[in-house]
Amino acid sequence: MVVGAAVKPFQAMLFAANEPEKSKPWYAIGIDIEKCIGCGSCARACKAENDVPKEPFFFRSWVEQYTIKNDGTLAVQSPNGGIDSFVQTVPEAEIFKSFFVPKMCNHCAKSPCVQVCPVGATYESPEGIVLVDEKYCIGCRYCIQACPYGCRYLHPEKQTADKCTLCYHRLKKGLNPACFDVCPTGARIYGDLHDMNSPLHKFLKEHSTQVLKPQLNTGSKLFYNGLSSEVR
Amino acid sequence: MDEIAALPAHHIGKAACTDCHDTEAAKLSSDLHTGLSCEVCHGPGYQHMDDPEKYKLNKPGTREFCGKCHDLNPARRTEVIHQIDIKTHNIERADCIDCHNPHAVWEMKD
Repeated sequence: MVVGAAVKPFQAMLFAANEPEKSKPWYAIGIDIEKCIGCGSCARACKAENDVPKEPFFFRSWVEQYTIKNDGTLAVQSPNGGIDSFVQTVPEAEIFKSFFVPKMCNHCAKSPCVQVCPVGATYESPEGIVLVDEKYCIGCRYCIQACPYGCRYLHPEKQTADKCTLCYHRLKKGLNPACFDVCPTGARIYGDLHDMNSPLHKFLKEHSTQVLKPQLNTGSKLFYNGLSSEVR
Repeated sequence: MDEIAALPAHHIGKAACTDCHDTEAAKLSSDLHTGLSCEVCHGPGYQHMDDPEKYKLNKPGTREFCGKCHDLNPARRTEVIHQIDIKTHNIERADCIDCHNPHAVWEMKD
């Protein structure tokens, strides 16, 4: 009970399938929807950094624009993944509320994609980052179907599953992930859940955050501030 | 895991850019765009850092490019971002950089 209370703000920790090693960092992400301006810098930087295929339907990181109309209906758009920014298509007089939602891998602690992989090619690193081993992946697409957030795609040339690595190669070199480096408004924050001084802890304490699809109990480590219930 | 960790980084970061372009970096730090990484507008700089003569970076400044952040959109909060209507704002001049210096926004050109 005491332990449960201590970790209550971080549902991911409470339900972690693998107990994280305390000596290593355990990364999580925060996105402030109130600060996002939908410029698409994150999506552009991700494609350039990770050699993601240029076709407009392959993304590791993308942005969606949600518009709630006065009559209560919802309009969602993500032209080309938001890579070239957005033009509002709903007339201003009909808009009740509009906002951008940047999306990327949630790096779940109880990842559905890890659980369904028949060959163990998808795994969770000791830092809590979900990765794919290209040498083992057989391209069966189970993980692509299993991800409730649509964060995976089949790489057209490699014929293996591909996804956000939280720029693991950059983290290991002491650099920030590309999408965090280029965000002009600082809407994206990442940090170590084990480090109480990390900017992520400040973000989690100062905001009332939510994860996507909490009912699925995936242990998502992507925390949004200002997330409307309409976002799926 | 080691193979992924060994991949090269394409975005080099503001500190690496500042090593050579210190005047521009100082100007950028002096004004509203201070929080921006150079690579937000100029694109990833890894090739340029290896061979600056062969690989040149983008120098964008068109209405379309600046509009990606600054065009009027009801989803953008006015307290977060300064917005103008790129279709009507000062249409006598073609591009944003005809008047504004992107490194120091309110340093107007004639």
